[in-house]
Amino acid sequence: MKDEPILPIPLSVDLDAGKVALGEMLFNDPRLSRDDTVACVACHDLAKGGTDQTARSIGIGGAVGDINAPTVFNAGFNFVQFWDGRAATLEDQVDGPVQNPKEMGSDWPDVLAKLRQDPDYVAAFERIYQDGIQHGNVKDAIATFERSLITPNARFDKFLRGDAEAITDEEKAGYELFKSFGCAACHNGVNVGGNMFQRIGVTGDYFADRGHLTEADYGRFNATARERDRYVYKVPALRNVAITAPYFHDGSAKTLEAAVVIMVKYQLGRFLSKEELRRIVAFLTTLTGEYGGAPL
Amino acid sequence: MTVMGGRQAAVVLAGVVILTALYFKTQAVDPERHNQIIDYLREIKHLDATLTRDVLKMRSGVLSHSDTLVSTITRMRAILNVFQEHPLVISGVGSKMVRQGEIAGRVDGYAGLLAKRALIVEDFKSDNAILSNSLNYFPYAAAEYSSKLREKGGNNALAEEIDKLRLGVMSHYVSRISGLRHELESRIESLKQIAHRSPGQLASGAAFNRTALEVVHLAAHAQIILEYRDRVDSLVHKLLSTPVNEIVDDLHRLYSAFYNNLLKNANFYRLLLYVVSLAFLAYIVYILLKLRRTARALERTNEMLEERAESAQERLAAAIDGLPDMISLDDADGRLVVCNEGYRKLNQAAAEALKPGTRFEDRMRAFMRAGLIPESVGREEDWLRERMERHRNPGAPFELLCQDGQWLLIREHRLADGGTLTMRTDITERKRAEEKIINLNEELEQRVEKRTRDLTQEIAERKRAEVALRESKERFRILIDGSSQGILVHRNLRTLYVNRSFVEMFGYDGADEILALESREAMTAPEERARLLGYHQARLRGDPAPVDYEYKGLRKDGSKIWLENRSFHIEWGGDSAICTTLFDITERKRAEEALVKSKRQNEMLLEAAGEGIYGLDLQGRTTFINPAAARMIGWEPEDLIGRPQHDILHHTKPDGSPYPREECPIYAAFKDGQCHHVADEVFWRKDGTSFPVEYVSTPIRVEGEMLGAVVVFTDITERRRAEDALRESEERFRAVVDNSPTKIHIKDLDGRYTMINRQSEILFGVTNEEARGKTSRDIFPKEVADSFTGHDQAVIESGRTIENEEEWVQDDGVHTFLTVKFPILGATGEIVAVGAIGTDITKRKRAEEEIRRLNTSLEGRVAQRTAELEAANKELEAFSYSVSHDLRAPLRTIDGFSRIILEEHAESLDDEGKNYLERVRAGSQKMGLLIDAILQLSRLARGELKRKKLDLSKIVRSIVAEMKESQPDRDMTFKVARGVTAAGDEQLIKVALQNLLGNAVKYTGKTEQARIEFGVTNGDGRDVYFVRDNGAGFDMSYADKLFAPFQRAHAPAEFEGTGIGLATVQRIINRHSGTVWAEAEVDKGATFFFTLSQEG
Repeated sequence: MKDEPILPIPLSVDLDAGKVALGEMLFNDPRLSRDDTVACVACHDLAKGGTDQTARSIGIGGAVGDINAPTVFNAGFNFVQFWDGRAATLEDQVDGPVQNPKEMGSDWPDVLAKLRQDPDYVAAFERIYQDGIQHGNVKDAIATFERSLITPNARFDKFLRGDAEAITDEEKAGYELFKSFGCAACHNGVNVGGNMFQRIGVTGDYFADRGHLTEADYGRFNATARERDRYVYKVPALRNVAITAPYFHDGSAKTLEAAVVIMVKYQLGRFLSKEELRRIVAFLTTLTGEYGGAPL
Repeated sequence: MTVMGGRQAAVVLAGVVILTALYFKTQAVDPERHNQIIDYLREIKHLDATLTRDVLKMRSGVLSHSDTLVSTITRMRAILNVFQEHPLVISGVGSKMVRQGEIAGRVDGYAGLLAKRALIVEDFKSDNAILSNSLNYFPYAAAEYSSKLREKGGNNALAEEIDKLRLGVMSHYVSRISGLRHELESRIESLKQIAHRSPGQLASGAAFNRTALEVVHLAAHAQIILEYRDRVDSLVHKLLSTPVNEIVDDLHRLYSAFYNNLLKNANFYRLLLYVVSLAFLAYIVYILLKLRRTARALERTNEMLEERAESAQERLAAAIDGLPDMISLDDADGRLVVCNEGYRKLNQAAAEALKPGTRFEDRMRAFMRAGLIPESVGREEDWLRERMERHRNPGAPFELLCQDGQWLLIREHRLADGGTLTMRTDITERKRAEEKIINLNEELEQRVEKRTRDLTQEIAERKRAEVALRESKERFRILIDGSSQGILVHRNLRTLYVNRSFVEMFGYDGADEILALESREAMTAPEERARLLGYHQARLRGDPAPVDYEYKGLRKDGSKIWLENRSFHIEWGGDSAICTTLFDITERKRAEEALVKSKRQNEMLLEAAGEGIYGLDLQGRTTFINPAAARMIGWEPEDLIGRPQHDILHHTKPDGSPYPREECPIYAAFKDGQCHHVADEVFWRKDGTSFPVEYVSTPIRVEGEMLGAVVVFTDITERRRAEDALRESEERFRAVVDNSPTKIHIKDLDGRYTMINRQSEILFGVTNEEARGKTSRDIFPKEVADSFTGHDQAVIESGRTIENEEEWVQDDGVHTFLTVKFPILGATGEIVAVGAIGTDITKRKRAEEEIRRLNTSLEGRVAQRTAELEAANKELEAFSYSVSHDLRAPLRTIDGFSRIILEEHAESLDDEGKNYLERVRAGSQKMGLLIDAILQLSRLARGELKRKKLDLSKIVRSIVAEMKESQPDRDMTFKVARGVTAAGDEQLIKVALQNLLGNAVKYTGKTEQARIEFGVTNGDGRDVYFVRDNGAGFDMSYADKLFAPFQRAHAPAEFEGTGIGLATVQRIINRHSGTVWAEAEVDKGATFFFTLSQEG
């Protein structure tokens, strides 16, 4: 294999099976929310590519979120969590949605009290953790489960592993364009993204054209208060991108075509022919992998 | 020995403590952990080098993804985390602590550095991505663009400008020529301005947009290269110039020095541990040896002591033998140890039992057998048990009679070792002297007894006299005690006597308890004490003071009683005293208080009462009046008292005539002794107005004597008004209900009618008055009534409105009523009645049935007609088939044979003959075309319409393409509107458009520049599609014939055709529920319009 900017997803990850099972229980449990209505899975549906496939998610009491819910698949490969990268680890990330008033709107004492009333949880936690149901242990279990959510065996990964027939000539041409256009300057590595920050609007003013600037649009600036981080986001991973519409932090691009057109206009500043667009999109569809042995 | 043992134990303990402490000192270092830390420090340095290397690789484009940078930093953070969570060194005191703090400081310093470096790397990744993308694009795109400009020979100046920019930017990028940047930036600026403001310089027309954008792109990328090169390089420089290695090395050095120091200490302690252990071991060996020697010395001492004890015993025996008492010593087990000569002599008869070691019990048995103990004879076992008991628990000395009348005083002592010492003294002589004294005593007693008997007789006589006196006193006491009055005699408040009633009155247990009291004050209520003391002191001074008065006494239990007091002087015990008699008047007092209270209550009631209340005496004068009454009639109460009430407020009847006193029902009450209740009269106010009242006049009779009357009245103005309003509302309700054409009635919960309206009266055949109180069963046959009450019950149970149809037999047949039954709720929301409204829907029912019947017959007719039509269609199809085959076969024969004649027998025909045959052929071919057109037309009438959404523009474009191809030599311009859609059958619409477009092409055949247009306009909210041409057109007077088959606007010679085309178009459009029409002018062209149904 040559020096390719994209690396295949490992076929398996080594994790404590007990923690993964417990984390899955918690991930699907609406008791983590204040009024027992919203579980993690509500906005990260594994059947919908680990997202809810809507621009803004609906939290407790019908509250509409400020930002598009990113996929939970392969989140373990991201170098930081959240669009603004404010959580260094998946464990830290758990605090965010649980306590966000527009998402699950709860607090830890409340959540822990509810979990401690459930004998199944008490037993499951005591099997794994010496100190039973604790804040840190709940986060550990959920984060471990999330690390298990990998999607290996995408057609493109098979290609990277040497199966030249795994993708079509058109898709190969799309990959070459993906590199030569400069997409891969940011979208690279195992997760085809998720390993650096970048500003939206390098060769054009994205927000001026879109309008309705919100606080969430300030991006990483909200986490660091550094002026150079204004409008900067974690570069999203493009794994399974074909099934995680809508796109961008504001969910404004409804189709993959629209997303590629916007990216080329505001990030790369060059022309894109219809044929080129078709090929790049064709390549992106080869990034859809398998979860639990079944194609997504 | 014990002192010795304590010291040794202390030494051993101290030894163990010291060894443990030393052991822990040697554990101050953990070599395994040390190795791990050294490895980590090395790894950090290595990782930092990797990080720097990867950044440089990325800068030069050799590394194409950021994952390695991320994983390097993650690993560095993990190691740092280990350092921070588990301090590098685990113990230390004094100066070591300082070093430890220093190390922690270095670790924190390194943590800050790592955070900074990580941030630099983040910024680098972002900026470098932008810079590398622009570098990969700008030079090539600029070169390509300028050569493209030159090729087209368009704008050489612009090409020149772009080349200059390209060279300048790249030169600056490569060599960073100072001053060039400023010049380049102004170039970029001017390019941008050209793109934005002077579009004409770039290109013209449609190409402009793209060109302008191209220039904007190039300018943007040039700007990025200028800007980001500095940013990226400054980040790389920052990363490279941080002295990471030095800081890590410093940490390494500091840590190693500290660790080595610790290690040296630990080694020293380890040596010390070995030395101390050896010393400790030697000490233990020494102690063991010493213990053995001591044991031997002990053994020897023991032997010596035993020898000494034996000789001491012998000496003791010799000593006690000389004593006069008889002595024996038993050990703790009750075995004889030693006894003296006296004891042995005493018990010679049982000498064998006196051997040392004999048990006490055996010894006694031996003595008894030898008859040495006369008092045990006959009760040996009992005696032995008592003796044993006494022996085991020695107490007071005791006496024992032995043989030959010898008395012994026996004293037993328990010794410290548990043994018993028994000493016996001979007291025979003393015993004999005692016996003599006893005999003298008895004689004396007999003499005393005789004297006593004499005296008793004298005393009895005296007692009898005393009893007589006591009885007389007792009678008097009973008399006093029996009195219900409490009697007390006192002197200066000191109680001398109280009788039983007094004691009971105050709740004491007995007279003694009262006599023991210091003062009478304890029996007086606290609030009365000052008053009573005043009386007493006045009496003492000789001033007059009341002797008969009432006061409150205090009982022992703290409760109070009312008393009537009377005091007088008496002689008591020869001196003056005061006798007080008390009478309990508590009950009377209580009754008085209750009376006062109840009077007050009555007054309050009267004042608070909302009704007017007043009293009258037998003369009809007001005796009292409450405030409410006075207020209602507008008088002050004091002005009314004593005045004849009738004259003031009851003088006139409601109709204005005078009301004579004799007729007044109020006064009648005390005349006839009956209650009078009146509700239809008026009372008059002071101001001359009146108001309706309801009143009750009740006679007042006390113990049979008539005293007057009391009158209670209410102003019923409001009630009247409410009643009037209710009556009016009821009447309105009644009017509405009675005039309703529906039957309306209300039943109570027991199913009895409370109201039926006029319509119901007619239907039921009973009046409202008759129906009231009756049930359905009283009015209707049982089955009908039961169905009604069943519905009523359902309403009561569900609480909901229920609708159902009821059928009744009337004179003119069965009538159907749609009856709505509904619950009527009371004030508190519970169901109080059931209402019913029934509408006669017989006519509607009958109409519905008629419609149903008609519908049924209509369906039958439609089915029949459909069948007929289907049969007709079949016939038509059969006809079409025969036309296509049967009619065309002879035509083919004519055409075919004509052709054969022309081709094979040409030589036998002259030119004229050939010409005729040609015309035969043309005629038969024309007829074939006609038959095809008719067939198509007929086919259009049948077949299913398959509607779907159609792109008309697309269909038209494909037809136009075919037409252009088939007639390449024609000069035709087609204008086809974009995005015209409609719903319809694709096949049919295509045929219609082919015909219309075909016509347009045909009739522009003689026009020089043919223009044909397809489009859509809006007419009356519908889409109107059109096909327009600039051809021959036609006279609008033909417009109505245009769409009929075989009608033509032009002669066949002018424009050939079958005359079926527009008929076909019309049939197709009609099948789509649309219309088609045309507008035209001769030689100016024609426009055909059509609409299609909007349904999809």
